[in-house]
Amino acid sequence: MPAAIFTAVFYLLPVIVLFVYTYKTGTFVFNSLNLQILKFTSYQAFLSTLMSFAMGLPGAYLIGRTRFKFKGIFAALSTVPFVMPSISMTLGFISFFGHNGIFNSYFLWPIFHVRFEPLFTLLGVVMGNAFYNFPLTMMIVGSAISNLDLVYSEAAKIDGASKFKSFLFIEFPILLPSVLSALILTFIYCFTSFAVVLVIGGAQFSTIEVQIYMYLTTLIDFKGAMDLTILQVALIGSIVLIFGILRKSAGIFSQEISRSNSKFPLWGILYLTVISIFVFGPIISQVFAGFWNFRNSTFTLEWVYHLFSGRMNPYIGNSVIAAILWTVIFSLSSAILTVILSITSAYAVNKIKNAFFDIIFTSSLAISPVILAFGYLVLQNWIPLNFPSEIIPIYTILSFPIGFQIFLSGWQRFPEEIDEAASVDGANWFQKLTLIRIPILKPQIISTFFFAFAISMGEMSATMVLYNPEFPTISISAYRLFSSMHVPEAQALGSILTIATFIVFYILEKPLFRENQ
Amino acid sequence: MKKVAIFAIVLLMAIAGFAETLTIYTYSSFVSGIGNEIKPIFEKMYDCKINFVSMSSGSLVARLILEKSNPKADVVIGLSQSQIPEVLDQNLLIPYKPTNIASVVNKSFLIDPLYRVIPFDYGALAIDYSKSLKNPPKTFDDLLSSQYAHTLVIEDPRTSTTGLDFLLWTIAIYGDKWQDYWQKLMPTIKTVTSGWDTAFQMLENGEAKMMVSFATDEAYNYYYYKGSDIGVVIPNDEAYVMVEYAGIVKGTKHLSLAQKFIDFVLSKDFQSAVPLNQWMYPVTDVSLPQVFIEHAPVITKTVTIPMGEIKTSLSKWINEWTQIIIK
Repeated sequence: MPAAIFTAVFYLLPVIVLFVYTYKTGTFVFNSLNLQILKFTSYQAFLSTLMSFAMGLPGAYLIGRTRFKFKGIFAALSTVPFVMPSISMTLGFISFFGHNGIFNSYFLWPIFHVRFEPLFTLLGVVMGNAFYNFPLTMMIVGSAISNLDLVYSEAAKIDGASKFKSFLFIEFPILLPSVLSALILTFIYCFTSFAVVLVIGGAQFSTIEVQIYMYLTTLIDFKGAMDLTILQVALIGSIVLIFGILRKSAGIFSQEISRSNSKFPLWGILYLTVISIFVFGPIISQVFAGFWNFRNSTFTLEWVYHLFSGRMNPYIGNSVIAAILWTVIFSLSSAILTVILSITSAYAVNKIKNAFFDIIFTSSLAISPVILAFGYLVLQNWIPLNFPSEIIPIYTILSFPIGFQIFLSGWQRFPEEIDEAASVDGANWFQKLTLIRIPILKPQIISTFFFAFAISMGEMSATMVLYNPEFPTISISAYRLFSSMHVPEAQALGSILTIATFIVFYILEKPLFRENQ
Repeated sequence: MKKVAIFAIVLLMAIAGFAETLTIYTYSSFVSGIGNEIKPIFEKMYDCKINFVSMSSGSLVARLILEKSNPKADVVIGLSQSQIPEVLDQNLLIPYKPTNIASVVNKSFLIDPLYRVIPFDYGALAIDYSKSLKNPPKTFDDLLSSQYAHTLVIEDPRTSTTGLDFLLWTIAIYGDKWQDYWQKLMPTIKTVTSGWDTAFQMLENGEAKMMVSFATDEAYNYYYYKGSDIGVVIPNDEAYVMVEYAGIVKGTKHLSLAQKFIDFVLSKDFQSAVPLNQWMYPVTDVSLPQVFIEHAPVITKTVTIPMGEIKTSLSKWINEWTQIIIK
């Protein structure tokens, strides 16, 4: 079990070390305020999960089942928020949804004489979370739909069931494992949401994660932070357990690989339009800002030139080229590591059917990256670890739960007969892997790679704690440009990051749904 | 000639290789600003290397604590006064009285009788307002007026030192009544951001009319853009002064070089670089640049909270503040 060892060494050890280190002194943190915040955290996570799911499900169907022109672009754009620096996202939201934002100034106000101002409200928080997390549902459920066998629904159709009925009673139950995976990941992400809530809602809507950050940095009360972390892990662990039980009772439908398509439905156009406005609007307005001179209102490459000419190097602490290079190295390594670890561990967990591992592997999401980074700092006292060597395990730990969940549902629906047939025919382990398992699990491999790559590229909080400018990353560089008041250059770097991610994903995504084109 | 050149290069590399390296922990904007300016001066003076390691100002102290048994830093620079109680309590720094300590003008900045922390610059909080705002507030009570409803952006004291200092400022002004003040301030607050930069962007692009920021912001704009869309006001003219400190990390392997650095911090070279890089005021009597004289408010009256009180009440205050703010 390589994954178990990896998890133990790189995730549990630092956390346990910090735990032991911490429990010498401290205060009692289960006060009424923290409980009140906990209640709000759960409430907003619940609402946000519903909205993310509702936004992602139609997309999953369109992506998995139908053919449309901009499918690749659509899928690639939707994962971009993961990598955008949170301040770029803030600016995107403000410039799009703000009082004087594009949406209000050029659309709602002139036409309907009303304004829609979701910023700094609960609706804004829910929208923000949905904005980040709907791709989870879209990609995970979408890849399950893309290899769903139509035999069942055809049969239902023949028996006179309506399309909706056949979806609800035939397809949905088959898709349930992937739906549950998407739901649980979404819930955990919304629960531990930090930047999104602060950025779009403001401190009025703080989550437990904000309190943890406060204990760690402002009050330097490690015990307070650990207490809340334990509470968070316990809560999320028990939710993972409930979902695990649900998943088991959902039954398992293994299936053949199908290559079928449906016609693009009319509601799809409406869906794509709405998503394009609400999700891609802020993204595009941000990408645009990197190439715009606001003083003369003209297109410009000035900011990009500033970045690459070396003028910004003192503020970044290194060159932009180095930042791009190291970011790609870190993200690529951790994405590959994540795919390998999650594919093997999900296989093993599926075989031994022990809910304990399910909880351990998934609840690492409940540990905030800062805690993880602090654990590494304590570890450094005994083990010669340093910045570039420890960041890849950290990124891997942070994206591993997604991969694990994706492959868990992947393996559950894996057609064992083919595997067995191959064994009977004398295929060895390697042949089975390369000729059967990898091709069948290709959609899962690619979505895992997507998310791991994106999460690593955008990670800031843990990186910031351990950072060494000899090995710069793009997101930290953008952050430094922002805080040294080089806003246009920071925007340009953000735009480059967004465009680069978009291109990488667009190319990678092609083979993902090619089977049904 | 060529041989000589090669010899010289090899020699230079050898010197560079063997030069003593001073590792300094600080926050990131310090490195890109004043750090860049003073680094070559100090390196040349003492034939050494400076290695700046920067992090968010919030995790500076946490990192020193976590590395206590195996310290990697020689010097830390950029500690804010609200962090000092914890730093001294944890015994992270060693005493050193700089040879030029007498040059510090305001003796009240010397808060540690053992000289473990040495002040190197100070600034004051202020309210920045967009000049499109017709009549900006002049006092804290003015801020409560309904004409400013929904215009002010503040930073979260849990995640931002600026936000924390603003909270302490109101406590210094209103004492036990600060919670009443905040209750009444709520309608004025547009939102609470996690950090200063987000708030500043909101002011810049017109989403907000006022924010909690620094007294030198207008001077900054005049210096870089020859004009300013924002003005600054210190309500009640009672400034909350933020002093920043440096110190030598306990366990340093380069003690004598670290001491020289602390002396250097109070030198003319360093102090003259403070205003236009840090946008803070120097602690010695070096002359101020013209733009400071013309566009930064003169700080006349200051308010503070005693260090001991911050230490005992900080977490209680933040708790109470959170109760008021959250829905």
